[in-house]
Amino acid sequence: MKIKEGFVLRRVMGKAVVIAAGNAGETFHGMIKLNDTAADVWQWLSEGCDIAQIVQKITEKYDVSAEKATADVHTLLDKLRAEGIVE
Amino acid sequence: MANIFGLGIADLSVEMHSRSPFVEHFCHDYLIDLPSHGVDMIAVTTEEQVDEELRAVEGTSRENAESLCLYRAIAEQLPRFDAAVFHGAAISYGDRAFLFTAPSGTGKSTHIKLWRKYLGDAVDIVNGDKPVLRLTETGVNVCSTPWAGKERWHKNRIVPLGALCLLKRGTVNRIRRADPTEHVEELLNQIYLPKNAEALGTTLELLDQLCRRVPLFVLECDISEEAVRTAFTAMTQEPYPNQTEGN
Repeated sequence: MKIKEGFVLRRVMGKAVVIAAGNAGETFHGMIKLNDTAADVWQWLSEGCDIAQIVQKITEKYDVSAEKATADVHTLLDKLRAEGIVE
Repeated sequence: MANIFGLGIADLSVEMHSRSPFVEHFCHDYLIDLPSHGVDMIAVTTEEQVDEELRAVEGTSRENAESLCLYRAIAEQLPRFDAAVFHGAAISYGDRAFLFTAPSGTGKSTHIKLWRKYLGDAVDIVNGDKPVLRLTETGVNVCSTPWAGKERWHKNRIVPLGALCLLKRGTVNRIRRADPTEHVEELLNQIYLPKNAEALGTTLELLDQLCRRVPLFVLECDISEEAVRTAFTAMTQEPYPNQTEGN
C-alpha cells in the first residue's frame, strides 16, 4: 500500500490539501482536503508505514481505540484507492 | 533558427529561446541585456509542446502558441524564486496593487476597465490577465509580464499587493472580507500548478503565504460606478475620490 508518485500534501491556512503533479495530474484533477488524522495517516503512509504501524501511531497520538482506528484507516484508504491515489 | 534574447520579469532574468522573432517582439517592453554572471532561468520549448498548445487553444497562431509554451516554461521554474503565475487582473492605485480573480468570462477585464473609467489616470493596469506574484520579505509583489490576455493590458511594473478579490457577477454591489480557508479551492484554480512535484509543493506554500499576508475579499458587482466605489472603499480603505471624469 503506497501513495502513487506525484501527489503532494501541504497545509494551506492550516488545512491539509492534496493535489497531483505531473502524470498523476492527468488522471486526477482538483484537490482533496484531509482532516488532521487523515493528514497524519498520509504522512505515515508516505514514510512507508504499513496499516498496523499506522493504527498504532494513531492510538498513541489520539484518544481512540485500536478497533476504531483500524476501521477509520480502512475507510480512508478505500476512499484514496477509489480516487486512484494509493496503490 | 533560434532567436535568443533576455527577458526581465519579477526582478528575474530569463534567457529566452524562441524560433520566431515574434516572441521577442511580443516581449519588447521587458527586454534586458543577458547578464554576464548568468541568468536566473532559461526558457525553452519543443515543437511537440507547441503542437500540443496549438491543439489546446482554438484559433491561435503557431507563434502565439510558442509564446504561451515559453511562459509555461517560465512558470514551471518560478517557484524556485518564491513566485507563481496567477490568473487575475491587477491594477494599481497609489503605491499598491489590487488583484481581481475569477474564472475566465466572469468580467475581470470589464471591472478593471470601470476603475479606469471612473478613477482615470490614478489607476494603472499592471497586468490584465496573468501577472506573476512573488513573495517579498513581508508581503507579496504583483509583477507584470507581457502575457496579459487578449486585450494585452500590461505595464512593466512591480507593485506591492494591497488586496486580493474574488469577483462574482451580481445584481447588487457588495463586498465582504473573506476567510481564505473557505476559498482555497477557488484560489488553487487561479494559480499555475507546476507539473514538477517539488515545484507544486512550493506553489502550495506560496498560496498559503498569499492567504496569510494579503487580505481577501469577495465582491459581487454589476457594471456601474457603484461597483467601483464598493470595491475601492473596502480594498483601499481610503475615501472614494470625487473625480468622475476620465476615460
